[in-house]
Amino acid sequence: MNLGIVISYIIAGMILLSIAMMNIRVQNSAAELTITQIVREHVVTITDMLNDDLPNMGYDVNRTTRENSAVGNKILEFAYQDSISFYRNLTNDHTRTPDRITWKLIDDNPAAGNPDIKTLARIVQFENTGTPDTTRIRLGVTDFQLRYYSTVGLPLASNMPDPGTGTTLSDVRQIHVVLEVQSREPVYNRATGPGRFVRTVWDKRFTPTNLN
Amino acid sequence: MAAMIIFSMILMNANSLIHRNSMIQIDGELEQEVISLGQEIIEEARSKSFDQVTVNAAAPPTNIPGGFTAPGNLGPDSGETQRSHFNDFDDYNGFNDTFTTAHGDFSVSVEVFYVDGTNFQMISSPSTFKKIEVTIESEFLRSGDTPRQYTLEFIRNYYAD
Repeated sequence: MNLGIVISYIIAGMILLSIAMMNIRVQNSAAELTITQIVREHVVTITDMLNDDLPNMGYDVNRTTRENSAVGNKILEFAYQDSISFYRNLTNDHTRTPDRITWKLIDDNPAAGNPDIKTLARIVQFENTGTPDTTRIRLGVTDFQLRYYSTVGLPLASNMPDPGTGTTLSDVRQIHVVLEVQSREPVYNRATGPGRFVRTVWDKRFTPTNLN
Repeated sequence: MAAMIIFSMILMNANSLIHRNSMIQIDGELEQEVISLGQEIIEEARSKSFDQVTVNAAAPPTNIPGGFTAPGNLGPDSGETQRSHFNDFDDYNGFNDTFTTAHGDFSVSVEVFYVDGTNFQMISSPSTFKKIEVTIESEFLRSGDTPRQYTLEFIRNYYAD
């Protein structure tokens, strides 16, 4: 066979393989971008709720103070590293008993694809009575951390120990929230291998007016 | 030869596309942090008194707005050397700090000034409106060689606290 033709075939084969590889890389990149956008939309959905709930804690609660006394007076019910419960009036009707809102992370692995995904629950007890109304947020939350500060504007690492249900609940002035969301399915940079999950982290320190 | 040249050009375009996709992802993630930090400072400043003369005041000032802090004196008052010492809205004027987050370091600078109640432009005399401007930069958010500046603003009214 003509040597020139053989070399041409080899070069053509190499170019075809390179085109195929390039095509895979472009597709993976586009897929990763799409998944990133989806994950970020999930973050926005969750933070919209947090941005409404946390700054408004204590809204229209009788005697909006930092007191930690009977229901109807106090704002925070408990405050742990992965859960928080507080009172706020979800309506403008000042005659209602304040509603009790609880946010907590439940380690139940609801998604088959990503083993780290947990359920973030927002539990509302309307007027602090009756059956809790639970919204199970299954949007790829892998971490939900809360830190508490007794003085506004302290450095991030100067948080107070978890107040829990103790007397230091009335010292809380700021709440720092870290939320991590991951994709359910992995993305691949190569044709083989385990792939990786797209991850996005959102954090913010809240200064609820009624705690100050 | 021609095929290889054409393929090289396609490959360069593909690499450029992948690079652009990565930049979009990173920018979005960092801009999310920028917004959080900006809102954090603004919310914190809003939780403070409107002016030094209204801090723990038993009654409203007798002279409004003339009795408020003079525009040239907006900023931390005596003894307020740290952010945790601030007790009124304009103490944040001139505040500069670097915030270390999961997304790297962000430099934050704050400006507070009086604005006119009708056009919300800066004025050189006290008024019942103060504006806070929080400017945030990250070494990873750049337009060419220049760091991009993100500014979040909030106007506060003495009567609408």
